[in-house]
Amino acid sequence: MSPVSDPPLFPHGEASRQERILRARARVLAEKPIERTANKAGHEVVEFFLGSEKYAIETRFVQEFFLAGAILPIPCTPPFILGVVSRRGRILSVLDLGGFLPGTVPHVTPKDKYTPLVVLRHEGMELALAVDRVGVVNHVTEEHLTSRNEAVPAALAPYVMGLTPEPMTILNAATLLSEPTLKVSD
Amino acid sequence: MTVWNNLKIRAKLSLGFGAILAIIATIAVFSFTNRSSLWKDETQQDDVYAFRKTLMQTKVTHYEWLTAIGSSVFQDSLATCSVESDPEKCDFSEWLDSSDRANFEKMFPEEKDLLNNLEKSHTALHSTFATMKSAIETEKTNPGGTDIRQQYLKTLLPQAEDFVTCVNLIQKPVEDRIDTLNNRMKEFMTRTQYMMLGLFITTLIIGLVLSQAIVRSVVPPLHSLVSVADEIAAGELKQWRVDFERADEIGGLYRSFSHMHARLLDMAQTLQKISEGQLNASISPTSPSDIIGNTLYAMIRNLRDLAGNIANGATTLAASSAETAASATQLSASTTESAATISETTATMEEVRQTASIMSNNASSVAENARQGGAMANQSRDRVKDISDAIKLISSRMDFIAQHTVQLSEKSQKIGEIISVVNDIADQSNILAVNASIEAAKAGEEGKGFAVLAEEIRNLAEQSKQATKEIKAILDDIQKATAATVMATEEGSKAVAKGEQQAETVSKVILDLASSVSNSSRSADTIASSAREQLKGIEQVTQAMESIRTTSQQNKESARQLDETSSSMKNLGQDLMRLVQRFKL
Repeated sequence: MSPVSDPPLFPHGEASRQERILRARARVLAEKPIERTANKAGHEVVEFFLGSEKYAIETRFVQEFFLAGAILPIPCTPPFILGVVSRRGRILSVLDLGGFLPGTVPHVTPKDKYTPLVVLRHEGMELALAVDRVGVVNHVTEEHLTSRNEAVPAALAPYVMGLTPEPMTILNAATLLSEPTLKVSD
Repeated sequence: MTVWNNLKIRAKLSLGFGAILAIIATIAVFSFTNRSSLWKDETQQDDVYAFRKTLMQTKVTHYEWLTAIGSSVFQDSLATCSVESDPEKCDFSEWLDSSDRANFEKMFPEEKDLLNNLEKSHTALHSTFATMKSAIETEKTNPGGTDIRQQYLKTLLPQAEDFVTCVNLIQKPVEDRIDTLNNRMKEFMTRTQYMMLGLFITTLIIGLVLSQAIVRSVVPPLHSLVSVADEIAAGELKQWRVDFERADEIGGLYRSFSHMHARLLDMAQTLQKISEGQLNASISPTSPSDIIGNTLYAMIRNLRDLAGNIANGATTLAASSAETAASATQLSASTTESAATISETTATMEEVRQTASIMSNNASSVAENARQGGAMANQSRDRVKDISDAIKLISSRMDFIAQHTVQLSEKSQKIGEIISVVNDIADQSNILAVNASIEAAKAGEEGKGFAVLAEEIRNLAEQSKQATKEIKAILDDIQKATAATVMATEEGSKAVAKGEQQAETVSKVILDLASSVSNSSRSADTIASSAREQLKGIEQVTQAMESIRTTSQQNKESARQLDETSSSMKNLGQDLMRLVQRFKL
């Protein structure tokens, strides 16, 4: 599809900044939404960003997103445990994926206020992932998924469900939540 | 005659004047003697006249006295008659008792008896009247009776006649004495006249004789001397000899004159030798006070020195003339060269004059420009004041802007805070929308409609976030611009303050400049006037150079003439040398 030059909205003047904003917005709205047909096999995922990288987690593991206030650091915990927050009467551990996933370094720097957290739950295990920015709920079909064995290192493979061409890493929340290192027995 | 001639002139004059003086003395003695005799006669004559007057008055008085008594007798009024009856109280009695009677008796001794008779008669007369009057007073006799009248006629009248007779007898010798005295005085006067006449004639004759003798002995020799002196004065010094011998002053004068003549002749001969160039001639002064001799001696000596000096001078003059001739030739060449140089200088001065003229015009232009500059400086001063006022206005406006910019900055901060809140709300909305989408996804087919709704909400939240982001960006720009404005305002305020300060400085500078330009204008005027004066001076110098050039041409001609003159001088020196060699030193 060859790019077509748009007609100017203001024929008698230069394209101003306002015009560029309006055009960008129109272009976004004109995108065709992802087909969410039941017929096509796929996954409902929630997108989020860590730095410049885009990740997604299936919506069935996601309880909610919320903006956390102050994260209370817990002493004598691994570095990827940023601390704990209180959410509707529950205490949630806040996990930094950057320091948790193998081969990565701590990434999320706790903000002074309103750190976006995504609350995950699976089989009684509940924790909050600290993210940089919240994305959208999207439907990823299987055909768009790339096998994890092709692009992901072996150590990281258990935590990755697949990759999209964008690229976007779809994490395996079940594996993540089942990780024994996250459990504190005493 | 020889004796007379040998007599000195002083003796001759003394003799003449002595004779005249002797005659005058004789006349004086004679006159004094006659005068003494005459004075005695005059005194005696005065006394005699006084006697005659007294006698005649006595007669008249007693006539009146008698007449008065007669009238009283015949009018019967004798008792009241007031005439004097006492002989002692009569005026004549007083004369008789005075010194005049003694004088009379001394002068007329032979008339003494007559005077006594007269006195007796006078006494008898007055006594008779006294008797008559006493008879009347005692009334012994009738006042109108015949006794009184008889007594008057027979006694008093005869007594009165006797009295008059006595007076006449005395008056006779008095009259004779008067005649005698008058005759004697007349005779004396006549004798005196003749004597004076004789003496005058004698004096005249003696004076004439003596004067003629003196004149004849003095005047002819003096005439002779005067003629010789005139010849000497005329320069005729011929041989002259004294041909007579006299012992008086004339002879001495002749001898002195002869000496003088000889001396002058000697000097004339010496001068003649000098005039012939014989400077070896000599003269001996007679004494240190011999002015002519000493002067002539000094003159000869000076002439010798002078001739020697002239000879030396002539030699020197000849040599100097040669040098002068060479110098004159050189001077002529130099003058020619100088004339050329002066011509060049004159041309140069003309160029200088033209340059000075241009410079004078330029100076006038500069003065005019300086005046315009002064006017512009005054205008600039006014403009700078306007600028200063404008800068003050700008300063106040800048303060206003700074104040409002700060307020704007605060408002921007507020807006930023509000945007932050809106951004948070958008984030919350986004999260809520995502959560709604999650919940819709979990609901399956039933949640699809809600999912769309949640998606729209999320889109709105995203748009809100985008809008707040843009607003934030805009606000950041605004804040940056505001901060920049604040900075710019502060800098502007500082710049305005600095500008204000600089405007004041500039105002002072402009004032100084105006003053300086005014001074420059005055200086330029002075320079212009000086340039004009200089131009006049240069024109005068040019004229002077022209005069010098003319003079130089004349000098050139003069140098040529000097050259000729120096040649003449050289010849003159040689001639002078030849002339001096004629003198015998």
